[in-house]
Amino acid sequence: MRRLRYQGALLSFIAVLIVFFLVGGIVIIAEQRNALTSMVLSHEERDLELMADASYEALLKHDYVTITSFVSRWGEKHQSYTLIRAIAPNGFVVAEFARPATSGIPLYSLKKTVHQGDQELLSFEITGDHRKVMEVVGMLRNRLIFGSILFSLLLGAALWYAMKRMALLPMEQEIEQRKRAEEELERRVAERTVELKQELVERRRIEQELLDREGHIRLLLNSTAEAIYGVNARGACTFCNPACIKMLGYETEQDLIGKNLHEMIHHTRTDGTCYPEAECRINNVPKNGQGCHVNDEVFWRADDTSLNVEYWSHPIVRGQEVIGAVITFIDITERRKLEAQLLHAQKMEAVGTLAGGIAHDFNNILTAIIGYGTILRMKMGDVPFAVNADHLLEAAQRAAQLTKSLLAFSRKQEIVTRLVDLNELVSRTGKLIIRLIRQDIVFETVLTGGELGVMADSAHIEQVLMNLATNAGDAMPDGGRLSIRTERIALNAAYIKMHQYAKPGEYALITVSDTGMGMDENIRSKIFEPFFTTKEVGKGTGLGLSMAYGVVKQHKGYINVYSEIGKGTVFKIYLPLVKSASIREVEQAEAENPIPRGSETVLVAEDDRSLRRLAKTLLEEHGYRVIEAEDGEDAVRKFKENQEQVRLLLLDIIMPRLDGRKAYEEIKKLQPNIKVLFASGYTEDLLSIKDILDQGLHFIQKPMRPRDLLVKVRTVLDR
Amino acid sequence: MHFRFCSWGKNLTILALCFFLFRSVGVHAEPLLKLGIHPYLSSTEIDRRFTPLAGYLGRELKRHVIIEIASSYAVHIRNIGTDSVDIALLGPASYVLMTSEYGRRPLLAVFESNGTKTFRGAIIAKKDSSIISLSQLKGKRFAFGDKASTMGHLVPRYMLLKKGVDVSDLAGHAFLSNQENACLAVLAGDFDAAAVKEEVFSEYEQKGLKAIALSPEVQDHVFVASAKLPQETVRSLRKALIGLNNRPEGKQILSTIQKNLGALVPAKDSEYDNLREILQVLKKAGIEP
Repeated sequence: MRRLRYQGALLSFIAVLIVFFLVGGIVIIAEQRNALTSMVLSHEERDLELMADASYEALLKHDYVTITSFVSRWGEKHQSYTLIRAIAPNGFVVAEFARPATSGIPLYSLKKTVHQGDQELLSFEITGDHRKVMEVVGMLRNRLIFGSILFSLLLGAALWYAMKRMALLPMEQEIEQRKRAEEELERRVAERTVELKQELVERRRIEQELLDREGHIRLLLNSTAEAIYGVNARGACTFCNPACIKMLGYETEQDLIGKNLHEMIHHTRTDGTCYPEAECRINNVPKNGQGCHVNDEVFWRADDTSLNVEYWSHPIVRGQEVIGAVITFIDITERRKLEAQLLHAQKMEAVGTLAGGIAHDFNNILTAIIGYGTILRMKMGDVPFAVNADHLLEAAQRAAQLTKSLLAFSRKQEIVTRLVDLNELVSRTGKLIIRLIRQDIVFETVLTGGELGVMADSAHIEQVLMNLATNAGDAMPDGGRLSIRTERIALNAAYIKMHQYAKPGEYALITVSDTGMGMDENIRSKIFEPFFTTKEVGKGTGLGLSMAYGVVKQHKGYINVYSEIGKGTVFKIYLPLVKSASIREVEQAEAENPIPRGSETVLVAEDDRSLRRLAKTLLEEHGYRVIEAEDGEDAVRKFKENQEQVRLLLLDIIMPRLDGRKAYEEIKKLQPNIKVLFASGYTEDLLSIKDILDQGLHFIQKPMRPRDLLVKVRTVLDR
Repeated sequence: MHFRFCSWGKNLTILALCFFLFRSVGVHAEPLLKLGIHPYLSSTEIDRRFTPLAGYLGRELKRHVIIEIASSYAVHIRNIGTDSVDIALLGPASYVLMTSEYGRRPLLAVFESNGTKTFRGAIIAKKDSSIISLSQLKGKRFAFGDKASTMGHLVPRYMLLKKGVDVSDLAGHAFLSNQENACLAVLAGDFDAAAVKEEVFSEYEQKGLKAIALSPEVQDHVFVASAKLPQETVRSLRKALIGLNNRPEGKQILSTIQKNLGALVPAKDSEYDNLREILQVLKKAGIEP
């Protein structure tokens, strides 16, 4: 580039020289042309003089042919002549030579007259061009131009050489050095640029990675159900995720960012007392650098409602310094509720198990008492003290009823479910309830249209409704309104979550509501517990609602209570609906026929000796022949011994060594058509009972009424 | 060294001589022929007009033919009379004079213009001149051609004589070297009238000339051979000249000599008898070329 600049300077210098020489040349040419023109004219004049002189002799001889020839030859010899004329004094053109003039060449004219004395002989006129002058000028111009250029080039080259040697060479060397230095610099810059580019690429990669990570973190924060927020050392919020905002009931993160969150959401403890910031376990994390895990505190929402939370707080460390904390929390309100429900259910289960165990033993005892008592009463006949035996039996029956309720609560009673139209059942029960409640209570049943098919034990459900109605009556001492309403309801997932029910689906809902005194939350939470009663001592057993609870649970249903003091109570019973075209409930009221008798031989297997004896006594008194067996094995053995006589097996299900079902299986091998009636007072094995019933076999619940036993035995034998 | 140089030089000289000798013999073995022309035109013009003919004859006879222009008509007559030239073109008067002085020479061919072997002369003046007849020439300046010229002097003098005009009656007269000068001198105003061949008049007529009178017809120019030429050469020459118009280049050669010259035809001496009579008249009047 620099070299080009020098060459440009040199060329400019040469151009100036050329221009200078050319201008000089033009001046010289102009002068030379003028001089040459004058010279040529002078020369031509002389020539003309000569021509005139040469013609004189011929003219004297009138030799015009010679003149003509002379003019012609003269013209041919001189290319610069465009016209030569020899004109006689009378104007006759004796001779003429003409050639076309070359354009662009200036012309001149000369005239010479030949005289003889005073007499004019002939005039010669010449018109010529300055061809020669132009040629000489042209040649001179070309030489001048060529010379100027050549001289300029030579001079320029010489000057250039001198300048280069003296000035440019050192300068060029310096420039070269600088150029090398610049190239070195550029090389280093290029290297550095490459490094910087690599660094830039690396930096961009890292930035992209950071952005990706941030994106991931943001995604995690945004997508996680857990609420997460951060605080600085002063307790001010530095960030929060959408779950946090939502859980705390705010709208945007700006509602939280920069605010002191302890004052906003953590100001009060679970028990309602003030929670000083100095004691705040979250705010103390940055101070002591230790994280914490807490699950017994509450946070406060924007609408001043609280939520039970479990939170984890971790310190944020930068370098050696703890600059804040990040807190992750979840709403455990529902969990707390579930835990309470679980606790309640476990408690109910425990109580049920306890009650069931006691009730079983009581049942056996009461079966013996009622059995023997009934035999005793029958043998007493109409003696005066027979009334005592009646009281005894009556008390025993009440105890049996109590035991039955306990078993119902503990869901260890036998239920026999059939497809039942709940509307019909409620309607039928309503007629009984009207007789049960006082006159000052308005009773109404509101039934939904169509059938409400449920698998239910009618007697038990009736009992539940009766119990609820009795309680309602008690709750309305000054009268009121009792209503039983049925409806069809679909429990969806959301509803179930809200009410903690087990399965979604179609349910029949029985709502029993009263306008009584209602109850508080404390009472409401214990209402289904056995022996819990608000009634006076001796007035209630505390088992009515427990039994209802047990029965509904046994029907795979749910019972719930809503109550407010002074506004009444509402019980809601949900029973799973069964889809059925029609319901055939064959439930015939038992006719109070006379106790049937028989003469067949019955093999009674019962490990409880008193019960075995009671059955033997009852059956023998009514004409039957009885073979006793102590357990299953004994039963099988006795049957083998008396195979021909035995028509019916009365087998307790649960017996030592060989249980009732296995004993029946053995005996059945000997005599496939043998009839059997199972008995059990403890329905711990509901599946066994279900199987028995499913096989078309017969079952009787202990404690059994003598009449029930005798009717059942006769029924099985007659079938 | 010296010996060697002499040997080389000798050899080279012999070679050069052989080259030039064989070259000249190869082109024209016979001696050259001289074609003599009377100075009826300028030498340049004569040379221009007769060079093609000389070339033609040279090729036909395989001899080199050169043109020799005589300085005057008298010299020309003497040249042929003394056989100084081999071929000569003679004007009619010159032929008659030559035969009368030197005897007859072999006639080769005569000019035939416009289908005739004769030609005429004209007395001319400027077109704007008041002179319309020969008698008006008295007291006027008159230009003749050569003194020996048939139509430049002799026949016009005869014509003037017939009209009673003598040169002494003229304001002045001059014998110009050729008839073109006569035309030009009239045009330039040097003379009032002049005598020229009709052919020359025709050339200058459009420049501003008119004919006052025309001469009687006289046998035209004639080529004669030297008495020294062998008969065979004379025959060859005659044959070449008479057959010229039938040659491809003939027309061009003829028209170069004279615009209206159509052919060269055989000539007879008797055909010049009328001119002999004119010259006899002039001679009697004391007028001689």
